[in-house]
Amino acid sequence: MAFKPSAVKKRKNKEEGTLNMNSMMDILTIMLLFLLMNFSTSGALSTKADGMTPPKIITKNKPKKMLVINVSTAHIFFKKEEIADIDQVVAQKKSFIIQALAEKLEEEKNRSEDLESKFGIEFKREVIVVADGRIPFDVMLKVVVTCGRNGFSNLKMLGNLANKQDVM
Amino acid sequence: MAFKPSERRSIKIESTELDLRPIMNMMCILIPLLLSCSQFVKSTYIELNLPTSGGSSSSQSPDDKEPPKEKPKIGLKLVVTEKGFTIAGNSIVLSGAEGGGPTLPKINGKYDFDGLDKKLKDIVKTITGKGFEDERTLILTAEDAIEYQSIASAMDIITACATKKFTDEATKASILQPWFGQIGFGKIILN
Repeated sequence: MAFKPSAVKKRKNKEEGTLNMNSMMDILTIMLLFLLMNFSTSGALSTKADGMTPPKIITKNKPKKMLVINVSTAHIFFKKEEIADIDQVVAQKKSFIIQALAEKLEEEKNRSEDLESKFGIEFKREVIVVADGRIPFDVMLKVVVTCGRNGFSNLKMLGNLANKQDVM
Repeated sequence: MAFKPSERRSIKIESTELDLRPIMNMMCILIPLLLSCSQFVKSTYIELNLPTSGGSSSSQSPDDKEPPKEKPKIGLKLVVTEKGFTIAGNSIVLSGAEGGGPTLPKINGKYDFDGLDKKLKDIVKTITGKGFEDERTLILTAEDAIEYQSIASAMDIITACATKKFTDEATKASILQPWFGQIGFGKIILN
């Protein structure tokens, strides 16, 4: 025997539900404001090596894009290319010059001087050094001396901006 | 003649909802775009000016008969060791409060950056106007194993401890620059 169709279900009004977007709009507006505050038009300055933690710095300076030397705890990179091992640099006792870096800097210097003489693009002798905060002073000194001896006398030691309380 | 009843009663007020779809579409485009251009860790730098190789910067012409009058040099150095900070000049090493050891020993295993700030401020006050040729130069040196973070923090203090006012020739505006405009890196060589 067939059941009688339910009278209750038949009479039930089906209301059309609309999605309330107000709360979502609030979230998106806050997100938009937050992202606008952190907006940067300059783009990435340099590509960090894996696991690298640059030092915390209090002095506020706005870096520009220029030649980058990366010094991680394991390697030295010149324009993202690995050129020397830190162990070898530490073991090097007789000289302060890192040969592989010196060669690359010499090439870059010649290219920049060529551009300066041909097209008048000023060679500012600037280089950004992005170094890990844990590397020993000995390595840092060798990198700095190598840069200075190869015509790059204006060094920008890059780090992450921090509060005084975080550092000291 | 009686008036016809007003039709206002029978007018149905329809509630219209704001169509948020175009705004949502715009948000969906703007948020990924801003996310890709955001910088959550701000970068900064400390400037290190090295002396350029190329001889002396003397502006004296070869015809000048009188030799240039040499100014005295102070040769200020800051040495970072495992024990603390030592400040030295050409002829003097500043001793610590207890008479020996580093000028500013570590406090609870941490470098005394506040003490360094005060000490450098005192030194700047003392040497101002004494006519030292290298009054704005400080050589920073450390033991081989000292971590770069400690060196960077010391450089931060050196840069921020005192300023000097300069007048821009072109705009005649006064500019404040760090007193120690020339920070150099050096090496301790023990004989």
